[in-house]
Amino acid sequence: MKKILLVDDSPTVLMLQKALLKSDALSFVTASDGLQAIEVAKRERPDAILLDIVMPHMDGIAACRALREMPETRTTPILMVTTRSEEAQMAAAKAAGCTGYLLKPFTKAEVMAKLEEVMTRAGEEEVRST
Amino acid sequence: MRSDELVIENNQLKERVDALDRSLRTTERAMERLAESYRAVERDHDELTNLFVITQGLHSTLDRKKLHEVIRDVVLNLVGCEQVAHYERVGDALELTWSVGVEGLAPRVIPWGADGIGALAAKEEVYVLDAARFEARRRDEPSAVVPLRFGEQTTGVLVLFGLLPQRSTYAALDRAIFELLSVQAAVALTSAAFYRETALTMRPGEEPS
Repeated sequence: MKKILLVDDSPTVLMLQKALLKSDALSFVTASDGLQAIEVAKRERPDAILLDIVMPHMDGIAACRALREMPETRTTPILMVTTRSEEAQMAAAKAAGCTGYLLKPFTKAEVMAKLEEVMTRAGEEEVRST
Repeated sequence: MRSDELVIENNQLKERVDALDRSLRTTERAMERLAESYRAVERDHDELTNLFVITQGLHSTLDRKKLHEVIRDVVLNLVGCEQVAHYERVGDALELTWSVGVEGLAPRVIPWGADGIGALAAKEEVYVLDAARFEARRRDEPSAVVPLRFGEQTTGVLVLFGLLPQRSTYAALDRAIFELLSVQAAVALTSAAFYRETALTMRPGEEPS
């Protein structure tokens, strides 16, 4: 079973993500800001992270940067979840080390396809590096 | 084998190939129908999940501030609209209680039934701008007006303006969300108001029954 870390400051969005992605193949852990995300990621070692950009305390971009510096999450696929597709924001997310991004609002099919893609790629890279 | 027997066998084989082709086309059509049904089920699942989560969010608290946060989250994250204003009905006027991204678009007070937003609100039905008119929409023209209806009364209105760049118009799911908000948000906000009134009139230590 793959473990997914969902990070969003909105309880409604977290609830929706969990309900949409509910499956026998996935389990979830959640965090409501960037700081908490780092803590949970370190402890839970998720297989992929869905990270909101606009959040209190520490935003998604800063959290992504910090996650990439931690050995536990250096190669974990991180999908930035955002309402905006502006180039500047996307460039900042990319520079922070995110694997890809998802635009809100999204459907189950969109998230599942993206998650499968990044987790498969991460798995292949792990095989190559060993 | 004689040539006439070969001709017969050849014809029989051709007939079998034709029958297999027909069967293959029938199977392909059935698979297309199944795939379409699967996509429809997925769409229904997405829609029901969205509506379930919104309902749960709206009825998980009696705190007015938290309720407004849920409504704002729904409009921004689930509908994909980043310009929204909430008005409360006070007598014959609609008074602005909160807004996001609507600087210069949403007046503080709107007379009930007056041109534009007031008139749309007074129709007491969910209004969604026609998809064909979306592109030509004036910046200050609402794209959707959602009356919050408690029983026969309109207690407030949600007014939506611009959508996020990735959205060009509202989808069927958005309309379903508006219909749900129209009833459930009004019920939740009215319950929160009753709860607050009750709590204010109680003695310290007493809990609302």
